[in-house]
Amino acid sequence: MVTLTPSVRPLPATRRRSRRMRQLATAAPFVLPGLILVLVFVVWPLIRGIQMSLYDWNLPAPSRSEFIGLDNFVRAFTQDPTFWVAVRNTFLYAIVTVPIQIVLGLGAAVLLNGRIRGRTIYRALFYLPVVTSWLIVSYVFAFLFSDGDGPVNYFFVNIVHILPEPVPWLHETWPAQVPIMVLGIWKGVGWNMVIFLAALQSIPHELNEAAVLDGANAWQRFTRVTLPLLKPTFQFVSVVLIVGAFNVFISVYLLTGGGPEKSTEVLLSYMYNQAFTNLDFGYGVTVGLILGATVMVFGFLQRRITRGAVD
Amino acid sequence: MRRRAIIPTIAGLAALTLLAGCSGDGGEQPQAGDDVCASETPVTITFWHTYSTDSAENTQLNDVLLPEFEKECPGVTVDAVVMPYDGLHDQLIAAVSGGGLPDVMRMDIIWTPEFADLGVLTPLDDLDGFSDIANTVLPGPLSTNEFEGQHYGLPLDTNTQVLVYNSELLPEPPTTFEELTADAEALKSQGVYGLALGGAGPWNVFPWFWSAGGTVTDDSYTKATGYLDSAASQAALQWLVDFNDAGLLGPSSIGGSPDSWGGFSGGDYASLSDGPWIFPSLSGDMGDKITGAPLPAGPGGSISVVGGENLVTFATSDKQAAAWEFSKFMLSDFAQGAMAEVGQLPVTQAGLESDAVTSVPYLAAYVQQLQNAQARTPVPAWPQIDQILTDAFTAALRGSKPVDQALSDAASQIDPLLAGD
Repeated sequence: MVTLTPSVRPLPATRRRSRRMRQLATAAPFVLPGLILVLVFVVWPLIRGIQMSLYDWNLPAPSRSEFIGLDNFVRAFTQDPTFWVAVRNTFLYAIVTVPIQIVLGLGAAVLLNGRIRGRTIYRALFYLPVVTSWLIVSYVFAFLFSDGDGPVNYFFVNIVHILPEPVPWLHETWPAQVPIMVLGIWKGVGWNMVIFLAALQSIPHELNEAAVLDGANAWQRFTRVTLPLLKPTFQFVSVVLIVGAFNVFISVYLLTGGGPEKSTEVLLSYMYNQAFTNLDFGYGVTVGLILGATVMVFGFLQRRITRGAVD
Repeated sequence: MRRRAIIPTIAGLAALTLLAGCSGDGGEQPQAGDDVCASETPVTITFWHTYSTDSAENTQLNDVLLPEFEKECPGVTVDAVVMPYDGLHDQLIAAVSGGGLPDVMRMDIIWTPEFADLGVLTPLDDLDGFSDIANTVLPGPLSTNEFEGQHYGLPLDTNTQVLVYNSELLPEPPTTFEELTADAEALKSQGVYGLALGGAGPWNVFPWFWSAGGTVTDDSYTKATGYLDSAASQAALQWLVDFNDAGLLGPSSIGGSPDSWGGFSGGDYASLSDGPWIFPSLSGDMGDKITGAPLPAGPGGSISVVGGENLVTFATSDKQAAAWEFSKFMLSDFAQGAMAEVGQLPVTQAGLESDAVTSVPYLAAYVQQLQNAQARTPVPAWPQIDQILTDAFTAALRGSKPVDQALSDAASQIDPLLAGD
């Protein structure tokens, strides 16, 4: 008997299973390449990382590593002040750079959403830092912020007279945060602009027109119409930016190397130095895992907090 | 059928990663060495070095040395690979953990104890012909290969720093610290710094710290407390700090601009302490003005720092015999002489006295200074100690820490590293 709509009558269990197998077989070639890549490059290193974090890892002969349980984690949380310096600097970087990037990115997007001459050029200019290599701009910033008569010092000391004397930007704990953060912000604004611009352009004209008819001025239209409609974008952007901020590495590594005396270390540079300078791979991996877990917790919390607002 | 092509590739990648995960702690014992040169099927060894791609050293290696070696030892072919020095240490560490080490490598002398301690280098003492070579090379460079009573490499080339000065600004090189200070004070009025260092790390500071009477550890490298923070060491670093505070030391010493070479060739800095490589690089711009002399003597004498490279064989290699044949060749008079022609200072007394060295005027000061040059603390934890000392010297020169505190902080951080924790 032929049924045109097989869903009307439930199929026997064996047929259902075999159909699922067939579907699986059809899907497998599409899923497998990605799945294998994820297994090899994400899941396997993660498992291996968790394993390494429980050992005093012996680099040339892993099989002779000593099992030390949670000692690496205990060391990070209770015995290692530099770890907390790295945590402080990482959070500080996120707290400062994320909101500034969002505000500047949104501002640029609003300006470039209007009909101004040459806006394509401006958009390209804002986006240029995003596609420039971290390596190259870090070296450029190292030059700009160099000691003594470096360009930034020269500008602030000799031209606008804001600073009484040159600042050793890259060699002291707090001044060093400036080039690191300015670089992060400068490099990130363009990306925010593009995302916000896309979101702005998806807002229907009718809503603004209706608001105009209701007598709303430009500021009211922005705060009452545009901003609420951008909430999903804010959520997306802030999650991505916070994850990105926690992963700050190249700029710190190249601008200060974590110095002086490890006081500008962030979690990733500290992880790198533990592994490659101190050859303490077990501890380095531990720092990396703690960072990974923190990022996951943050992502989860952010979703929970903003879910109500979005829906 | 793209899928067919992709899946084996991924499987291959996966297999590679897995293989890399189980890193090789195996490796074979050196075999009897005589027959490898005569073997029918050529053995190819991989040789990593840091001669830059376009350098005269690299050309000499590929056009003169390797053809000669392959003529003398037809059974062995050398695949010489240029490795950029920047980041190389970390790249090696990654290769130790993930596989992919070469057979033979020309490595910075300061890394040898670290990699020997990791157990990835072949001890050479029992190999055929080692003692003959050990007897002909200079003891200082040879000692940088020593770790726990065994030698894990051969010195390949050596270098040191001398006072490199601009003879237009300094007609006579200072021979004592007093003369240096007097010269620098005279130059200050012309807006010229008497001396500049390339940075505040041990490589740059040690010649002045040692010459001023400072020490880092005891003679057997077991303790820094009592040495690095001794009164003599404090006075030595204080001398450099005072010299800097008096405005006599160029800003490049603590990372400012112009950098040491730029400032020197531009006439902002009258002298530097630097290695022989500065001469071929700057003599084009500066002509005869760039001159070298032994370091001025301070309370501790005129003591410079030994640099250079060692030739090591990795224990992970399964071509130990071929690697050893190549190592012996690189220490031969022919190879040492050929590299001396392109500015690599030989490690044998005979090599230092050869025409290749004596015919190059600027090398005379270096050969003389090598009699009074010390190695940096040859211990596995040197990279960490290097960082700690850089921090201490930088803090003292910047005035962010008093000299005594900077040195005692550093000593207490270095002690556990020397104890092997």
